[in-house]
Amino acid sequence: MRSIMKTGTAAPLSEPVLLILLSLAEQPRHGYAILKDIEEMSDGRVILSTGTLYGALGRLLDDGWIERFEEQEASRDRQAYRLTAKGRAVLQAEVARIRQLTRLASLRVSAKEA
Amino acid sequence: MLVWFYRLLLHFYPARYRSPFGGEMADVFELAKARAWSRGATYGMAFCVREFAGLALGAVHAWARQSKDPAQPAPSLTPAFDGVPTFYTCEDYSPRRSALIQGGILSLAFFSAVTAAFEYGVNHRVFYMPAGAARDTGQSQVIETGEAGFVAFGKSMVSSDDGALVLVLGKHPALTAIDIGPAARNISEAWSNLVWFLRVRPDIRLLAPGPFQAAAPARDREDFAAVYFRAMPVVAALDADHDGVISAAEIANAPAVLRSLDKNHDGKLTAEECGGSVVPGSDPQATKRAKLAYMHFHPVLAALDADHDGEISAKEIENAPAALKTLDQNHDGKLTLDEILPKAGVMVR
Repeated sequence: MRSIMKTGTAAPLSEPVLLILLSLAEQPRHGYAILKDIEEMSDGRVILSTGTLYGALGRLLDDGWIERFEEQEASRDRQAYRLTAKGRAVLQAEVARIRQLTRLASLRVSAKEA
Repeated sequence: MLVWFYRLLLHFYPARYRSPFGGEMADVFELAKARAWSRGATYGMAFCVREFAGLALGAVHAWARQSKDPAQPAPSLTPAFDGVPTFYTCEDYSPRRSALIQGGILSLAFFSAVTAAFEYGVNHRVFYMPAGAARDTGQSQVIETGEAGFVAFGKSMVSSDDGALVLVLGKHPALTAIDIGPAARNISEAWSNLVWFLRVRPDIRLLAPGPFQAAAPARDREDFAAVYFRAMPVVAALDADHDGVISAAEIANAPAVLRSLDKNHDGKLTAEECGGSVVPGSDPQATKRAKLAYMHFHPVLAALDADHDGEISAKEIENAPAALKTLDQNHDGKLTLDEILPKAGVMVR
């Protein structure tokens, strides 16, 4: 998937990856905060396990879509994650793709009903 | 405990992955666990299942990702037409062949282990041999147990060194040879005039040449227990009033009773003096193992033989009341059927 993105071709993101990027788009977060935010965003429908979360975070780090940094304000040393410019661009492309898809779907559904 | 187990499972991840994320994952797990269990046990259990399944899948993905050939070209894509985006649900990695082989070997090993566990469980069920299972074949008597069961012949008892033991009542005054099949050939010896406690596996046939008259086997546990109290010499001696219970007074009198079983008056009781039969001319090592198994099999003997050397010494005889009291699980001062019957004697159909 990511290798496709590197070629510049728009490709859909998996739901966990999309939700992680959306969570980090608002503000940098640490792992547990990402888990909670995703659960809230999806109204409890998507609950990631730590294995899934960190698997995705590892791939996103490798691809340079997010970066890791040490939280300064935390009571203890804790790693947090934030979107990179590349990651934000990918997220914007994905949102545009979904918007295009929903628009197309709306048109076809309304045409069928007519 | 869960966090400790989680940290342990993290070692299944590649070191390259575990090093940066392991500690962080465990911390997040601990926080998420506390939150999940605060919502109730059901939610907590679901959380655990999800977490450990996710951890296993994550480890597989991490290994697959590590073994991915970086030089592998990306798959070509057919351009979307009609403006409809293309969806992909799978990663495009392809594990190395060696990784696939290792995975195959691991899967095979796991499958074998599960199969072996099932096989072991099936073979170790204890069934009671139904009446009529013994049949006369003319030249020899073949007892086909069909299922694992209890088989015994004659008057005295011996045990096999092959494991747990079984009992079926029968009489065979001239039993000269028993073929119990290749699985337990080492105890295929000439026996005579004996009651044989032996675990019989489904694939074992007992062959007793000559005439054989099968007595009606015990019908239920109580029947079996009554027979055990009569047939087991030490128990029969201890239960002086033959009421099926070794009372507190009988326990207190145990040293005197045990000394009465000391036929050669050497001050100690051997397996033979406790009812075990020894086959003349049999392999000394096999005989020794059989004696130890016999002393270990019967709870009363196992308790009396405190040092588990296969004999009840003079000191152990003196200490018999205290040793017998260790079998008194409900602490009512007496020993009942359930407390002295061998575990393998629980007959299950």
